[in-house]
Amino acid sequence: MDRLFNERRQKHFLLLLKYWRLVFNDHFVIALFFLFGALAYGYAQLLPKIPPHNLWIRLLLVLIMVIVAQLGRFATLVKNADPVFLLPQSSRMRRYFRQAFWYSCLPAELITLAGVVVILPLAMVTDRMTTILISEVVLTAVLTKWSWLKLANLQITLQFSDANWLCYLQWGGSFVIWGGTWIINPLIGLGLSILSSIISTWLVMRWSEIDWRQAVLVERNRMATVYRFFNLFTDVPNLQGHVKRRAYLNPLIRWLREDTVWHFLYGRGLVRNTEISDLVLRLTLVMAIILAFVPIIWLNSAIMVLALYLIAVQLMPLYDQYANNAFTYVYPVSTKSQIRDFKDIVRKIMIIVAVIMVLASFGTQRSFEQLIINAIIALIEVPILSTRYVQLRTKKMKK
Amino acid sequence: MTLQVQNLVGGYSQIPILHQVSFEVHPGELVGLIGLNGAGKSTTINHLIGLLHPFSGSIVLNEHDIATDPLGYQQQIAYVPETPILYDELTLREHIALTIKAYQLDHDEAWRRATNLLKKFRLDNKLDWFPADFSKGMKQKVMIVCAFITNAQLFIVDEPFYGLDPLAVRDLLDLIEDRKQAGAAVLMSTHVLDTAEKYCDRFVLLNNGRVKFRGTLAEMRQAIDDPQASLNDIYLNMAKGEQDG
Repeated sequence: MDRLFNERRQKHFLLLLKYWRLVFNDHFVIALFFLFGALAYGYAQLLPKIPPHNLWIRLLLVLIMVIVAQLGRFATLVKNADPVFLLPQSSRMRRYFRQAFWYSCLPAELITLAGVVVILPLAMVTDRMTTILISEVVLTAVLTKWSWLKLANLQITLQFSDANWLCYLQWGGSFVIWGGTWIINPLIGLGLSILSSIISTWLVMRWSEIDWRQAVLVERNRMATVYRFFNLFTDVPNLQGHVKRRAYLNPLIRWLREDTVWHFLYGRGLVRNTEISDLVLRLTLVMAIILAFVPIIWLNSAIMVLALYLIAVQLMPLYDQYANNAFTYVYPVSTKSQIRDFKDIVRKIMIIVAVIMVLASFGTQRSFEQLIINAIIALIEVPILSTRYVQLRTKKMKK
Repeated sequence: MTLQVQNLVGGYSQIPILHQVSFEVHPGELVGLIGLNGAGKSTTINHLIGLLHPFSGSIVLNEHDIATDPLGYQQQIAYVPETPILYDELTLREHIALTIKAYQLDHDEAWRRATNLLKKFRLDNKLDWFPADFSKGMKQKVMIVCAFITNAQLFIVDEPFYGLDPLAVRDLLDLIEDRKQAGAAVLMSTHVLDTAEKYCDRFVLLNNGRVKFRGTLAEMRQAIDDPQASLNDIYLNMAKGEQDG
């Protein structure tokens, strides 16, 4: 079992390495430097302005630390086929999951400590913190994450796999601990976190019969999140969105038309498969918010141009979504009509996106000038993206 | 009206798997495509449905050549795959609607057929479910329903019996018989030999990507000089020869 986990850890590590290398390309690293520099500078400027003993700042500290406690998940590296092949080994899997726990623990605790380092200056502005108090907070953070991970471990045991309340406990527990720490006294938080670590560790020792179905599901979801993150930067082949019915969007499906095979397929594929639609939705919202807040006209328009392009790029994989389905080739339908219908869908989606963004650019400045400029940009760019650009990309994909 | 496969050489990459495969399927005829694992049955079928392009040779159905007139060819075939292939984002009702659109069927007539078939396969109360969540057998039934609402002249059925309950197997065989009577041709690949023996009119026996035998059961018996031999015997005989050879 030791060897199995080690092999998997190495493979997993190589996989992550491969994707991280793609994420941290030169340009992105430079951009990150600037971003972090700006953030750190802003943070440093902000600190002296904060009044001491402020309740709101304490609540903010609680909120941040509760969120930090949720970062870093329990990685079991369980595979889909494990329930079949490792079922006879179930009793010996204890060791495997203990290793998985330690493996997950390290990065999770590092994230937690990083969180503490970031918020400590803020905490020191509100209250005078002695070295003892600081070490109490650090210890509390480490133990909170420890019990969070133990609870995550419990969720994939046979006895607790149905217990949805464990999930609430992960939030609620850390909320109580950090509430105690920042609002009453760090010593109280420390006491609570010690208590919760002991109880959760004992629970895991007592009940550790693995629920394979749940374990596979949880790990698959975790990997899906990881892949989704990497997918923002590069193409991830392992990523498959899941399907939601979204009956409330049926009018949208009808508006996208269902008269031909490819209208029918693309409309439903886009609306019901979360992979592309969620990405487009998120990007549209983020870009709309940015447009609403950027007051400089030329910058705002440049962002508009870029945003429309970026969102159109995200739509392109839809063209190939059904390439693995044999019926795509069996149906008596020509490729020409496929491209034509795909252009229709892209055009319609881009119109919705453009309308949202043009309205958003009216923004906090209430600038009609900006609104009109961005509307003109949309009127020029959307037709280009939904014809020329689609033509170019689909030609490339066919090769 | 006939499917004519002539000197088909084909496969997945550069290396041919099929060598000079030739056979015909006539209207009103059920032809069994049989052979061991890896004999080339699925490859043949992938060529017939247009998933693969032949290196050489021709596939012609009713004067529509798949290479020169793919749409005319595809219009006349319906396909039931070995493993059900479904659209994750479509409900059962939408799968049928899509099939109707793809083959440009008469809406009311096709739905009348579909309703009958769905009732027969006990799927009529699941029209708004996503078939991707169905069991293997139920998914297979969806594939059968979608294929048999079309007006295809040639039905290509790849190993249809696995996962189907005995009732559904009988219903499928009835469906095939009906379409045969109506003048359609059916090509079916299978390992379920006793069923094939009972229902197929002719056989095409593939081995190592070559047609080893073409003809009726009687002709096959004659060829191995055993008038009592079942299809199973003939098949095992061939398998043994293959292992020895």
